[in-house]
This record gives sequence, C-alpha cells and structure tokens, in this order.
Amino acid sequence: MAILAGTDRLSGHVRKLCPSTTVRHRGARRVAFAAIVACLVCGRTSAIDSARAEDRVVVKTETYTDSDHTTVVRPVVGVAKDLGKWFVLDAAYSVDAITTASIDVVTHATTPEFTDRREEANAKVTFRGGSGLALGGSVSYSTEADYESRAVSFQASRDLFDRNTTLNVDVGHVHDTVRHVTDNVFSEPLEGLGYAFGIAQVVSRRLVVRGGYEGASFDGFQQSPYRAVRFGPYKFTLQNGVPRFDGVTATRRERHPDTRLRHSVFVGAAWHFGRCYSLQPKVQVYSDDWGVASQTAEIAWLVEPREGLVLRAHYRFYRQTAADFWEMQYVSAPESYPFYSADKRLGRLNGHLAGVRAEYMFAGPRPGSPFARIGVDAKVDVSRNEYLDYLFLDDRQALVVQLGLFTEM
Amino acid sequence: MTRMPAIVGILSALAVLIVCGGCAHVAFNERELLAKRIMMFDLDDREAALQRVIDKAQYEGVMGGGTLEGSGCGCN
Repeated sequence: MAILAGTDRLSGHVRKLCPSTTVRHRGARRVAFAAIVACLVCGRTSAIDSARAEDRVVVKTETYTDSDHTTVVRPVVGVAKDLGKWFVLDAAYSVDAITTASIDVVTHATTPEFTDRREEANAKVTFRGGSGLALGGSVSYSTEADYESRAVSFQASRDLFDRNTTLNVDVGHVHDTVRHVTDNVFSEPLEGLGYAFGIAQVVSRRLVVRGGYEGASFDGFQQSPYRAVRFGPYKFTLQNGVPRFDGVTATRRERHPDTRLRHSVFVGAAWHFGRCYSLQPKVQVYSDDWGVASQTAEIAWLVEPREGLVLRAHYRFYRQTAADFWEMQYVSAPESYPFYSADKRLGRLNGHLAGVRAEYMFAGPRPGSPFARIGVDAKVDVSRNEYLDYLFLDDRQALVVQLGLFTEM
Repeated sequence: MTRMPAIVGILSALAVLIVCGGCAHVAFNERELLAKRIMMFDLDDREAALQRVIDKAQYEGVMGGGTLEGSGCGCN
C-alpha cells in the first residue's frame, strides 16, 4: 500500500508533466502498477507475465497473408482471473485455419494446395507471494492434422533491492509427435528441454533495462516428413506455376540431425522521454550447433497522445546464416552428405518487419455495467524476407492484420 | 565461431546488470513514469504469443517468450 500511496502523491505532479495522460482513478493506478511489476518481472523472458489485479477477457482475430500464396486466419480468446488472494489463472484457446499453395507445397507435395487447422489451448497458474516472489506453472497442448505437441513449464521470479531488480528463471519440457497426413503408420517423437533466465533493472525514473538468456535442447525428428531433397546438377524453372526439374539424379526425404542445442541472449530497454513518449530498443543474438547464427535488432516507439490511447510504431531487422549442412544445390550423390535439407528457413536470409499498433481504452464503466473497462486494439505489420541462396524463391512479402477487444471486470 | 563474441558480449552485459543491480535505486514513489503503459515491453500477452507463432514458422533464430511452448506452427 505504501507503493500506491506514493504513486497517489505524485499524480498531481505528473498531470503537469503530461496533462493528456492523467491517471483516471485509483483502480487504474493499481492496474498500471501491477502491469509494470509484471513487466519488470518478466520482460519477454518469462511466462509469469499475466498476473493482474483485475479479471480480464481478450478476444482477438488475426489474418496473415503473403506473396507465397499462404493465408492464415487465427482467432484467439484468453481469460485471466484472480483465484483468491494469491493465485491468478490465465488460459487461452486459439485456432489457426491455414490455406497454402506455397513454393514448398508446389515443389514437394502431391496436391497443388492444402488446408490445415491447428488448435492450441494453454493454461497457467501463478502464485504471487509476498516479498516480490512469484511462482508459476503452465501447460500447453496443440494439435493439427500431422502434429501434436504437449508442453509443461515452471517459472519463478524474485524482486530484489526494493524491487529495483527482478530475476526470473524458467524451465520447460515439450513432447511433440510428428505425423504424415497420408501415411497412418508414420509417427516420430521430438523431445525438448528449455531453460531461461532474465534480469530487469530499474536504472532511473525513466529507464528500465533488461536482458536474458534462453536455451533449448531437442532430440528427435526435426525435419519435415514431406519435403524432399533433389540431387544432381539440375536446372529448375517455374512455368505458369508448375515447377520443372531437369537433370535430377536422385531424390531423398530431408535428413536433419536428431539433436540440436540452441542458445539465445538479448538485451533491451524502455526509456521514457519527453512528455509522453518511450523508446524500446532491443538486440538479440542466436546460435545453435547446426551452424545457424542470427542477429536481431528492433526498435519500438510508443506514445500516449491522449487519455486511454496508446500508439506504437516498430521496426525489426533479422539476419541469419545457413546451417552447416544446408546447400543451395546438392550436386553430388546423396551418400556423400551426412545431412541434407530443402528447408529455406535453414538457409541464409534477411528479414524486415515494420508495423503500427493502436489501442484505445474507453473511459470508466457506466453504472450497472459488469465491466470495469473496455478497450479495442488494432495492429498492421508488413514484412519482407529475402532468401539469399534459396533456389525456388527469392523473397516473400507478408501482411498481418490483427483486431482485438478486451474487457476488465 | 564469429558469432561467439556477440553472445559473450551480451552475456557480459547481463553479468554487469546483475552485479550492478544494487547500485541503482529508485524509490517506489519515483516510479510513476515507469508505470506508464507505454513503458511495458509487451502491451498484450496474446499478441506477443501470436507473433511468436508467426516467427517460429519463418525464422530459426527468433526465440523468446519464455521456455518451450507448443511446437506446432502449422508449417510442417
């Protein structure tokens, strides 16, 4: 309560600094403080990022479409609810409806187009103890025609130094089963173990920095059961959407290593400047024992021009090297390669993503309304991936449009 | 091996953060600006989760969002 009292005392001063974004009521201040505490606890390195002071329902729908003839429609509904004084339940359900005639399908599948449906459900319970301690556990299940995934994870976080520092640790395990839509016998397992730690540090009244490490090890089937690799000094042409290969000497299913060890580290910050602006830079470096290395740099600019309205513009650049065993064209016989892949995601690529987002939270509740607050949000992202060495596709542009509605009760 | 210095560099920065954690101190009643919504790293958990599904289907090196989640991405 001392924290909230301090916040109250400062609110008048803040109104002078930023009159268009005055804090509306005490409940809103509680939510805002809970949000920043949760934010400090987790950043993007922790799953304990849903502990809130109020129950919340979120409904979203997202549409993804790209120049490689893929469309995904993805509705999602999520609920966060306090369970007594100490626990918070957070659950979500989403569906992906996928239609694609991408270059992968055209060059490797027997049908010119296919559709798929992926469903995912997850639930998380967070215990919020005293002294800045939070413990969480979550389960996740997703299924599609040829893939099934079960995951469980545990999270812990602890505030230190009068909550100027927050440490968090995550561990998780996933068990996947890879299947084939036309081969009922085909079933291959994939096991994964993940681990992460992070730190968030309040540096000044306007600056928070954070960083973290995330690692994962996988053992099992890690290639597509559909993609095939062609061997030989062949020529590839695409005539009216129909691929033509001349000079192929052999064809084999993809063969990737069974084990993979992945590492990723990042640092980022949130800096409040001017009257009502913030900048959020972030860099991330990734490496794995397949030889893939990537660097990601992103920047987001946020502004709250009027009460309840938050705007964000962001840009991200991604650069990736190829896996050691990945080649643009495997010209020798299959026996001369220990591993081979036709996955363009394992080749060299550059990615650009830019977008804008807006959210508006309507003013306080009307008398008799069961909702404390109602808000809407919208996001538009455009992206371009450049496949630098991939024979079948030079680049891909994508558009993502997302609309959401959320209520707090 | 050229990627290792970058990882070591960022890990070193994290170590500095941890060591210096107790050096900076901002009192509770001085955190009004930090509590603004525009200072949140993720404005919406669901939106971040949806973005991770897209990233997983396109990039090998964009991790984040906690440890392992369901690995299916509709991209098999």
